[in-house]
Parts: sequence; C-alpha cells; structure tokens
Amino acid sequence: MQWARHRCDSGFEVVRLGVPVELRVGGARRPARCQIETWAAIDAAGGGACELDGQSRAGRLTIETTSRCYLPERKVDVILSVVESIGPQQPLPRSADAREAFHEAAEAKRQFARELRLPRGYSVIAGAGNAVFIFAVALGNSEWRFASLAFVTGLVVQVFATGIASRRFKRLNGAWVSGFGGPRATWSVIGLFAASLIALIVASTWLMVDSQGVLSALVALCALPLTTLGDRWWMARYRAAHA
Amino acid sequence: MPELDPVIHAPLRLRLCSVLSAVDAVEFSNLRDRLNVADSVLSKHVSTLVDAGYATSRKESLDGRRTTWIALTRQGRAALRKHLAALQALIDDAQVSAT
Repeated sequence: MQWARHRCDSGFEVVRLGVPVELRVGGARRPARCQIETWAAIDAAGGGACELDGQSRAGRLTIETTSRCYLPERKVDVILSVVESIGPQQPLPRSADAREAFHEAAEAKRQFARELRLPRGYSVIAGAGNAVFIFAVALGNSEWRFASLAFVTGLVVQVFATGIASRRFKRLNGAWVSGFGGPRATWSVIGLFAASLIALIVASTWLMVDSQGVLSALVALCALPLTTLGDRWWMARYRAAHA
Repeated sequence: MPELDPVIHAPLRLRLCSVLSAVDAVEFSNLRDRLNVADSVLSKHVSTLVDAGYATSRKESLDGRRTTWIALTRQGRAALRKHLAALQALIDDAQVSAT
C-alpha cells in the first residue's frame, strides 16, 4: 500500500489517494516528529507496527494509535474505507495516485474474472436441456398434431435446466454473468454456439421427418458436448478479455 | 479530455465499480469479502452509487436465504469508462511531462 505524507498547518496529514486523515497518538495530537516516527514504524513493518482505531469526528477521520502490535492489512483497508465514505467531496488525485487507482481497479476486475468458475455438472445440465429442446422441436415438426405440446414441453425442460445451472453458478461464484453480459470478445462464441444449435435442430428435424428417430435423437444429443465445448470456450474468452 | 467522476472517484467505489463491470450482478456478501470492508461501509458506498443511478440493488432468494445483488447500470458502466479514461489521461500527461 502506498502512503504519502504531507506537511500542513495542523501538522502532518496522511494521504492516500487524496483522502486527508488526521493522526493522533494516544488520544492527543502529538508533535509532528512523533507522527513521523509512528508512520516510519508502520512503513518499516511493511504495513503496520501500530494498531489503529478509526472513528469519525465532525466529518473528519481520526486515527489513534493505541498500542504497538501487528496491524493486518485488512484493518487498514477497513479504516480507509470508512474515511472514503465520510464525504462526497474528495480532492482530485495526482498522477501517482491516478496510476495506483487505475491499476488497483484493473487488478480487482482481473482477479474477479479469473476466479469465476463453472460449477460441476453445469454444462451437462444445460446441454441436456438443449438436447431435449432440439429433440422436442424435431418431434413437433415431424408430427404436426403434437407440435405445440412437444415445443412447449421441450421449452419448459430447457428453461428448467437453465434455471438449475444458473442457480448453481450463482451459488458457487456469488456472482452472475449472462452470455450477453460478458465482454464483446465472447459474442463470437455465442453466435457460433447459436448457429450450431440451429444446425442441430435442422438436422434432427430432417432425420425425424425421414423416419429415423434414433438418429434424430443422437443428433439432438450432440448438444451435450457442444454445450460443454461452448461453455469452456466462452469462459476462456471471458478470462482473456479481462486479463 | 474526460473528467473524473466524483461519485466513482473514491478508491473503494472505483474498485467496486470495476468488479461490478466484469459481471452482470454480484452478491453483497461476496463483494464485501472481496473488497475487505465492513457491511456498513459497503452498504454506504452502494447507496451512493444507487443514488447516482450508477447501480441497482435487488433482493433475491437463493437456497432459502435472502441475498442482495448489486449490479451496475448502463449509466454506471458509461461513467466508469469515462472515469478510467480520465485516470489514463492523467497518467499519460505525467509520462509526457516526465520525458
């Protein structure tokens, strides 16, 4: 974490990305020298040698050093996040701060994208839903009496399977990203996947009309590996786009 | 030259927006853990973004428990892009003046 110190009339301000923080030692403001020593000690310990306790007073955060002990990075982050939430008006960053902010934002995004995972069985469930839908459409096209029933049944199964898969994704990742919500780099995968599904529907229907029900079902089942492949490819493109 | 957005400018909100921009929606507790902040702090920042029209917050039931999902709006995504462009311009300016 980068810290910058600035001298001002009231002593020393500790500034991170332009956020002013008043530093007090042991409950009372100390001479500037003492503050320098305190922060030098924090720096020397690679992030913290003093325990800090932050609280807001009159719209300004005061950090008090209470004892000399290990200061975890997470505590500093929490204290600073309180500082940042105090007022909407914040000074504009300098170039060094801008660079740090830019890289922090990019890293947060990159790390988040990198840690997204497909849950176990996600592609199988979604693929099975697609396969049932394709076969139902083929069945409906070959036998017009059942067309509506077959289409609705296939659609319900597919929506149900997609619902289960998306819930598993949300539960695992605590986040949701739909196909079209991803970066543009993934749209080509979605387009190709959609075209492949349409091709499977056409092929399966043609075989079913030709009274080759088993072959038609086998073609519909191709949606399983296709979905698995599409999901993995999509995820790879998604991660690459955020890398 | 694009201007910095005062709503996104706070470092935590910038990271928050950046994470949100990668996905459609993120669960509140997941965001809290990733950003390493207290519930109240994150709630305050999210409220600021929602008030500005940059984010939405909705409740959802997942496995029988109520969860809150935060998402960036189209306006929020556009504002983030502009803010990042402004930061990049600041960095570029500093590089030019250094050389």
